[in-house]
Amino acid sequence: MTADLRSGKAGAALGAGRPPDCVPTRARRVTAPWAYLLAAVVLLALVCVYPLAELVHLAFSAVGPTNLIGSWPWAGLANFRAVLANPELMQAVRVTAELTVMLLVSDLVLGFVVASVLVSQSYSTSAVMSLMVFVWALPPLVSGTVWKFLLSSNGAVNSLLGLLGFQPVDFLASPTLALWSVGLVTCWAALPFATLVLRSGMLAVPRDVIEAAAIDGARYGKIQTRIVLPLLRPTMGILAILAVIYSFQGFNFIYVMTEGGPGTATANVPFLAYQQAFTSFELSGGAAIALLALAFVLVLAVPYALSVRHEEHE
Amino acid sequence: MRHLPTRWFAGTAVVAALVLAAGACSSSPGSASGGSGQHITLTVWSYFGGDQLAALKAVDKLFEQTHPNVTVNEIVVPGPELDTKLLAAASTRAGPDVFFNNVVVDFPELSAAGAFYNLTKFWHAYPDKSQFPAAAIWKGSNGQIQNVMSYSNLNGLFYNKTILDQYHLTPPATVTQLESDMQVITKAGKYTALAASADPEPDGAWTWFPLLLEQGTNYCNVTATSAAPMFQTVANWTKAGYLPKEAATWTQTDTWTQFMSGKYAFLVDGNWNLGAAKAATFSWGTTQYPAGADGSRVFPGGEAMGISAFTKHPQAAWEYLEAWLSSQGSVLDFQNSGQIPTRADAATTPAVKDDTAAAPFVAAIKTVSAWPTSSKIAQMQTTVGTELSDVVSGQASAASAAAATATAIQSDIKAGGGDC
Repeated sequence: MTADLRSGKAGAALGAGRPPDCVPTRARRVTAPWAYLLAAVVLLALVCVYPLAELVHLAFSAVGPTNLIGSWPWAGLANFRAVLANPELMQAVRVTAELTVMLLVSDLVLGFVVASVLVSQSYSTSAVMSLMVFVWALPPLVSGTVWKFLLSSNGAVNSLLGLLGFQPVDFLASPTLALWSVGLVTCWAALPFATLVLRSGMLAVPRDVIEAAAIDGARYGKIQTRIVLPLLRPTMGILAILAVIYSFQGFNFIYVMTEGGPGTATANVPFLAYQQAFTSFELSGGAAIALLALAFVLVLAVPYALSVRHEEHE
Repeated sequence: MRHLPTRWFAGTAVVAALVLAAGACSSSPGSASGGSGQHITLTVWSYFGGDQLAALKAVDKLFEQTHPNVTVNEIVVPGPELDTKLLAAASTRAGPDVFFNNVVVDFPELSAAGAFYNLTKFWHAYPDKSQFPAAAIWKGSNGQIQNVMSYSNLNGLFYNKTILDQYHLTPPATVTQLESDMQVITKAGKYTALAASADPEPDGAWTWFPLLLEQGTNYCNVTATSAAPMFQTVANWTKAGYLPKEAATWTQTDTWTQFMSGKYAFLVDGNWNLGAAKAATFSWGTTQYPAGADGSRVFPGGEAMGISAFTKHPQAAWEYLEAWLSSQGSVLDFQNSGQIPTRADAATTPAVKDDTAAAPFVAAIKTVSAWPTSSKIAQMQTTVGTELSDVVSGQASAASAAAATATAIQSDIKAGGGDC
């Protein structure tokens, strides 16, 4: 390699004073990243960009089982008009909004509290964190099925209530309670991640700031709310965006625990898209719903991400 | 410090991508070594589990014994995903060689998507075709035979004999008798009367629609008035405590689990559970679906067999279907899973006709109602299931559910081209 550089164009450009095997740093930076990025770009294009493009194509076409193979006739906004006129969509949006609020409160408030408790480094903290990671890693199909049995009329929860003298509760059959039940299980599954993220943010808060506040007489609560919380604002912003995205992906627990029921009480937007596309075989209708959900999330997520990035640069 | 050359990384990335692509191409589920005399692998997709899977394996073994150059590769696909995968496979001209589909729900869509191989010439040359009723053959809109049913599954009533004996009750033959029995059991307070699915999916419709069939109403002529009795019955039974409210989200799998706990007196379910019922820790029995004004009527259900339109081995695939359609295969299937043979001579073999638990389902085949031919049958069943779930959970009255059902079904019939 050294001989090539001495004899090649790079060597000629180096000039007399530079060591013969030293390639200019700027030239090295220009060639290397593109080679590394190529495989990732191709993979992303295949598994992300292409399916997204097809989803958009599907939403603006009239596609059903009869013409899934073959050309897709252009339908314009007809699918969107039909979807927006469907009363089930408004119901699904309401359900999604309620689940989103539950998740935001759980992730940001409860997540902050739990992270505050677990911020200290000790064996018990490590044990609790390990358990939380295990919960987080459980497949939703598994945890959802377990919760379905726990919350059934003769499940463990109602058995416990019976021992305490209460009547059994229809956790999954009452329209109101079913949504709360699914929401709380979703929050339970998402809390470990929120805790991990917030705990990492807390550990990054400079110790001297907290110690200075303590010396000035600030109590624990004030330190957490007046110092740590504001410093965590960018982290919480990102977590909030992720919580909204997660709630718009919230399909697994609903599918396993209630199948959108009772009636349509727990059918959120992703579940409605699934029903339209794969139960009713109205593929374009399902795609239109999915695209509307994606657009909504982008409307929320992109500006906020940009503003957080702007703050970080400041 | 020496660094690996940039080209090394680029080359490695390209090679890795090529290896991944080659691996993906060679792992297509429908691939098999072809050519006459060479070993063939037939890929079979189903959503079977439990006894149905045992039956599949038994018939596969029977087929492989007579076809030593063929290996059957069974792939179990989760039920709700099968149709999606079949449609996706049809669009990519790939997929299995043979599949078992939920014909009463998905036949119109799969047929319209061109997923089926044309079985007409095979069926016309089949020497035993006269053994099968017309209802066992499903034809597409172009008249081609596309699905065949070697067995049928029907709804009936399972009862916990241990509980009935405690209260000196006999298995009910009519809806009125069932209500009377349930009243006794509920009043006693120790057990729950009825486990039945009312989930917002076709399961719920499959469970309860026979109440309308028994009054002469079907999907094609349903109105708000004619649909009301079914919803009112469900509402009354829920209010009376015969049917728990959480049935609003129970699938048929959930109801089976509840019944097998021994705490439920009655269960509306099908003959495919006869094998699993042998594991019950209590005495049990079966009767036909409780009769209404027009007798006991149910829809015929069960899976049908189809050959993929893009199979490379149509002859071998058809011979596989013949194994299922044979008398020996039909009886094997019944013995493993309780699925009732549609083949006439198989249904009269001692193994089938002497089975007292299966007898009500065998009898029910004679009076089944015909399915509508509308392409929107899946949506119609989902509508009925959703409204039933609303009624059981108290979100809708029987009258409003009946009206919503009638409106939605009439709209679906129109959207499906008016054919029903």
